[in-house]
Amino acid sequence: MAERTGFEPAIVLLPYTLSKRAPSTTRPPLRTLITILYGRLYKTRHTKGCRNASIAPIIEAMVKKHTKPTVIKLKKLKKRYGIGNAEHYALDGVDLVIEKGEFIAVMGPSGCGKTTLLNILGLLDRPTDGDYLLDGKRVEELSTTKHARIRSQQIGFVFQNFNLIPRISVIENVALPLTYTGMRKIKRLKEASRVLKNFHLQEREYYMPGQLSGGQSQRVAIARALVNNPSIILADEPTGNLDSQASHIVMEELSDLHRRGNTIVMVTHNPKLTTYASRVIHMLDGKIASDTKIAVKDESRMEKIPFGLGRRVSS
Amino acid sequence: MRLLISDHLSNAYESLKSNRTRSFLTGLGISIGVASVVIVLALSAGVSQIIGKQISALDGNIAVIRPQSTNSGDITQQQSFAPSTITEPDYAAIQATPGVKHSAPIMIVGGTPTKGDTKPAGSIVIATTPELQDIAKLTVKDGQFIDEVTNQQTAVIGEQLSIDLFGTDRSAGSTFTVKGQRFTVIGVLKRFNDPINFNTVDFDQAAIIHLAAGKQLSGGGAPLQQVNIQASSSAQLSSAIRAIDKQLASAHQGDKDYAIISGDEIARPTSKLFTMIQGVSVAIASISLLVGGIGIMNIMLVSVAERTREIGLRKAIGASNAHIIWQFLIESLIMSLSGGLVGYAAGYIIAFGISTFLTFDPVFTWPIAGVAAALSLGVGVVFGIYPAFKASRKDPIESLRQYH
Repeated sequence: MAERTGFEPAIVLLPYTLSKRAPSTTRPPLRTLITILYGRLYKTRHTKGCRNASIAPIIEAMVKKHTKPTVIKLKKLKKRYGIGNAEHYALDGVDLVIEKGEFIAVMGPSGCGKTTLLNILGLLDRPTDGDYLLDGKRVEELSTTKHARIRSQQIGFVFQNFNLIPRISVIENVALPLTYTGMRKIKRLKEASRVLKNFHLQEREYYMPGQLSGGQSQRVAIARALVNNPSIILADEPTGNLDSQASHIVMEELSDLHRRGNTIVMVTHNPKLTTYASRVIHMLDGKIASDTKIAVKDESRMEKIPFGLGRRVSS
Repeated sequence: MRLLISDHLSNAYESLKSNRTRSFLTGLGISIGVASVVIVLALSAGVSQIIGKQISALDGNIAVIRPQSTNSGDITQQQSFAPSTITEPDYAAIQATPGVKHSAPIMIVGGTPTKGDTKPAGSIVIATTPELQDIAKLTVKDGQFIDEVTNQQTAVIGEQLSIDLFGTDRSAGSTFTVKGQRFTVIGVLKRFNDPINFNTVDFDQAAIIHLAAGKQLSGGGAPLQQVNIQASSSAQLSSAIRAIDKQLASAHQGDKDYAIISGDEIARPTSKLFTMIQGVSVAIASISLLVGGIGIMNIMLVSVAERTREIGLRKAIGASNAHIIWQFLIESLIMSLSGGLVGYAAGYIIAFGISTFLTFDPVFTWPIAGVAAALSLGVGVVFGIYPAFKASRKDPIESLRQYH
């Protein structure tokens, strides 16, 4: 984050102007305008990388309110495996824009590249070619250490087989991602406890993972994915190991997260689960075959509701 | 380093606790290695300390002149069967040097004290002057020490030799032979109980005869094992040493085939042989440490393989490679350091146990504690770094896919 300096009177008018125009339907131009003005500010300030302290949060708030910021943007993303005759593109030019608050279900037959896509989105894998912008920043060329930091701060994973560490308690499992952000233990556990409470698992805090049912385990895993307040939650077949009832509960939780404004990308085989999603992407042979947006029932519900108390202000 | 060290420690503690027996046995391997090194070092430090104590008991105005081989590496230089470069004329010169209060040569006479068929093993015959009694602080328990007026055919013997030869510690008046020459015991030394001393002579097993008699026995030319001198005062010691050095240098035509040793130098292990034995013992002891280290590496590799999925998960939720390296490295360090601590304690317990059969005690010194700490730290790092690196290099996608 750029260093913030004191009040800058010359630009006070800016939020006013914006707020006048904001309700209009021309969202992309507005965002462009903001970006341009932002850039100007940036340049006129000269001093290294400092932004106007007084208006930056206002602009951010407005952006949040009136536009759906892009979380992820993929441009002609390719992933190649093998060389020579064995060459095979798991992803063959994927263009995708994921906006904040979307719940995307990625469908497709085995080997269509959906898991590869998820791995690349989660920075566990690197694309062979193409651009990947996460929160507006190109990330595919960053170092592995930077990738790890991004994973710890901006990405939450939910796996098919839960992947809870069996020898530590539920609450410690949930708090685990926070260890890698350098948070102190007591604060970590408090945070984890708060998230677990939202999943109605607080009385299971000191259970060991082996003592939980599949559905409970997956809910703990979702709590873990959520504890660091990520920009996006990536779920790889989250109900693959669950029976239909547990599946339903877990999908309700994910759907609830979606209503609270979280962005979710879920890979699944089960067509029934697409009913929970706001957008369904079908993939075939490393390409997006179809991309259907399901009409959002209630716009107001897309507003991001702070999840739990004292969430960190996004920085 | 964003992850707090306490997190790593509690992390490692949890995972070691979940495999209690395995962690304990691995630590035990290190304990045994460190213990054996500590035993050797503590006991050999005990030996050095004994000599050091003797020197400080002698008021610090003692110097020793020993033959020194011009070609280094000759470990047998102080053995009686090696030709000595210090001769009787040298001794005469040393004796005459101003500032030298007492001087006593020690000549090892080849031959064993014999009484009838009894030839006590380990006994030794040395020829010297009466002044040795003052320099080496020898006490006669029964009878008297050799002096200027006593007969050349008289000897003073150590208590143990007396018992071995005559079956009594009161043997004054008895006779024994060396190389056919008859000697009469005129005194028995009080038990010295220090087989290790700066004279490199076990006085309990020695027969002490006149230098002249010794010369006769060894066939005239008398090579000397060493010459002890005592200066009139500590202040005069260095000037005396310089004077002796000058004299000997001219007598030996510039050949530096002798060494004048004083102060703490005398306290050093008396021979290269000792240093070598110590070194070899430490090296052998280190082998068990090496084995312990291999044990650590083995267990860490197993642990990494077992926890592949955990590694994948940790990476997925934001652990960097460095985090993973530290996680596993700290685990192996905890095992090796706690093993080392136990080994250090056990080493001293065993060393004290052994010392009840020896004439010296093990010594606590900081260098030994430092060596033990450094060894266990080193083993932990050396044998823990490879598994840790292996863990950090794991591909998160592959790791997460793995079932166990």
